[in-house]
Amino acid sequence: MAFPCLVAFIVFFFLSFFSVKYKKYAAASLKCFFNVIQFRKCETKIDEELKSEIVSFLLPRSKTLAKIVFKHFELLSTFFVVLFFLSGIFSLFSIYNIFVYGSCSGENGQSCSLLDINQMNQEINSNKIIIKKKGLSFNPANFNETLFIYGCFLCPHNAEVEPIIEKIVSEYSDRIEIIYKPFPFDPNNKAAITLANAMWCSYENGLENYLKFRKLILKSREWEHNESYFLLLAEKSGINVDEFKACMNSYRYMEEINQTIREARSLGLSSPSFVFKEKKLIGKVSYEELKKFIEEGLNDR
Amino acid sequence: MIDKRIREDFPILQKYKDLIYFDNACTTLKPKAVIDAIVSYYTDFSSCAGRSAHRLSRSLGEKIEESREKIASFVGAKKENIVFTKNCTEALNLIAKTFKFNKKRKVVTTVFEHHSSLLPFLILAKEGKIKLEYVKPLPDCTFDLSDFKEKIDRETALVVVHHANNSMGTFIDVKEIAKIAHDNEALVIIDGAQSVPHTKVNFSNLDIDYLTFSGHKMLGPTGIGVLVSKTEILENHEPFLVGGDTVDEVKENKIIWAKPPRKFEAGIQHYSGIIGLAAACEYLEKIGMENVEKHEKELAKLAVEKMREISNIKIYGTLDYEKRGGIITFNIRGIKPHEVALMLDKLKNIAVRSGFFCAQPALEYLGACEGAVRASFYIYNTKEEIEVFVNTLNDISSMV
Repeated sequence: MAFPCLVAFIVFFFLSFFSVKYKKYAAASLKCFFNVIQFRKCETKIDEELKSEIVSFLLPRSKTLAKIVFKHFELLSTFFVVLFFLSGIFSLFSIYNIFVYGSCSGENGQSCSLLDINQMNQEINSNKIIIKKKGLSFNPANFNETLFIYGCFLCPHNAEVEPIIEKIVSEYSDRIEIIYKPFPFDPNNKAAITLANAMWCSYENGLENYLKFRKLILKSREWEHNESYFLLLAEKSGINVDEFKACMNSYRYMEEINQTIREARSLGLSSPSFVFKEKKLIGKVSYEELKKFIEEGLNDR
Repeated sequence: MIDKRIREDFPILQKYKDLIYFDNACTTLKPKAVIDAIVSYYTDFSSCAGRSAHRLSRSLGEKIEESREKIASFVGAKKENIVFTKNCTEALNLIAKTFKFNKKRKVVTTVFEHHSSLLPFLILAKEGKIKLEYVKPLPDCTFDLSDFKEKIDRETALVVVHHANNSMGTFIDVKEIAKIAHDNEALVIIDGAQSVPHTKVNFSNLDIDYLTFSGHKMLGPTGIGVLVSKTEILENHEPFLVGGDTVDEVKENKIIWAKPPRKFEAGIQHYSGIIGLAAACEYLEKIGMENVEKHEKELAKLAVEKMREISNIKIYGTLDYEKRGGIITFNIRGIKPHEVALMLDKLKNIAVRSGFFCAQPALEYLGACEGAVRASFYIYNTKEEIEVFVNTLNDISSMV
């Protein structure tokens, strides 16, 4: 009984910042907690009050639901107490991951960064991680340095940073190679895999067509719900549709896609992320930040 | 039934239109006439009654005596029989603490008494000053007079009993009990807190020795109670609280106490309360106490009949409408009384009382160890309110 009272106090204490009406519940919970730890009766009847409040709210709306809540109130309370602590633990863990890895999911994170502005610029332990140079190069040539861009257009941040990438490509394409790696941050999402597959297949038809295809993808997200829309985009981009279709159906770039996923996981990347000279930059970035990131890499010789 | 338009006299019912107030055994709502009377002290009479020579003080003195007379008349007593106290509890404490127990030290009471009646005597019993004996009720929560006859004997000094029970609203034949007590030369204290507001109570006709009641349970203000007793009995009591106005004369080593009721009214009195209580008596007299009683009984009858149709409800006390007033105490099996009260409040703004109603031994005797729910009716309650109440109870009981 002391445990739920303490939980109730914590919950109502925080809620009381938003509404004064929770103050009395917080005070009652605390009083109840002190009573219980002293082996005295909880005189505040906070449990009865909350139970009545919830059941009275439900009763005019659904008798069945009210009845279930009334009959199993203790069980539901216990469930929510456990849930409270579990979610608390996960929240703390996620907050830690955000600050350390830039993603709620931690080292193996695959989700979009929760941070609007990139805060992550960390050293990569190059002894452990090998980034394959295979990808969709904006400027295929033999440069000493390569900027890798891990992204998935399913994540809205990618569309937002696209103009920045274009600017960077035009500014640095004579100094460094810039490779885009289609990165399905959620491998269980079929649309993400198909998108990555489509990007690889479009690249097969030459850089010029690929860049047109890339622009069209960003214009409409119809492909998200309709796979055959990729064919239409391919045709509009001047890509040979038959070859594109055959490529799409063969899934011959799956190994490359899986390799990208493995790399991203190992590096703790989300979408979008930038890797340059054993350093990573995660999340939605501004042009200035990305430029600075590259310049620092270039100067770090 | 009393005309529904009476509700217009109660400002709080005009303010909270959907309020269904069924907590009248705890305290009643106040009509405008009473509120105006209370305010009149501060606007028309604000001074010390009968102490100063100025006209304001004299006019307040007259107003207080006029009020005392009105209150006395309301309960069939003489004005010198009326002692103002803070409430009914204080009146009962006054008796217990100042009664002179001589050779006879037995006090007979019942397990159905309010804590205010029970505790002062329970303390005396614990201190070994008296011997307390209880008369047990019958299964229907009424009392058999023969049980009183059995308990009250020549050793009995006092019989302490309620007139109407605050837990179930059942009445006791106090006139017969007084007769039994007097046959044994014992005095009778009647706790009239739940009877004076609801039925015609005549102190002289009942031939009792003490009657106590509270103002706030009968439309009057809080903070005012009354002890009614005969002068010769009051004279035998030591003063309770002492101070200004309780004495005729004080020397450095001598006190001459004033005659009752002054002897027991120490310090400045609750003048606005006294004036307000007199206004409440006047208001009730205009309605007629017979009508008040009839109205409550009809509401209680309607409520009990409808509540009995709800399968999970247990109603405490006799179902003989003639033996009970407008109080219904009940429990819904499987739901705590406090939860029922909270749900009634939250669902339909119905105000009832839950718990032990300051009568724990009574409720425990009934087997309601977690307490019960009490709905108590008064003059402004209506049949429509009973309908809403019973329908809401039906919904709540469907939870189990």
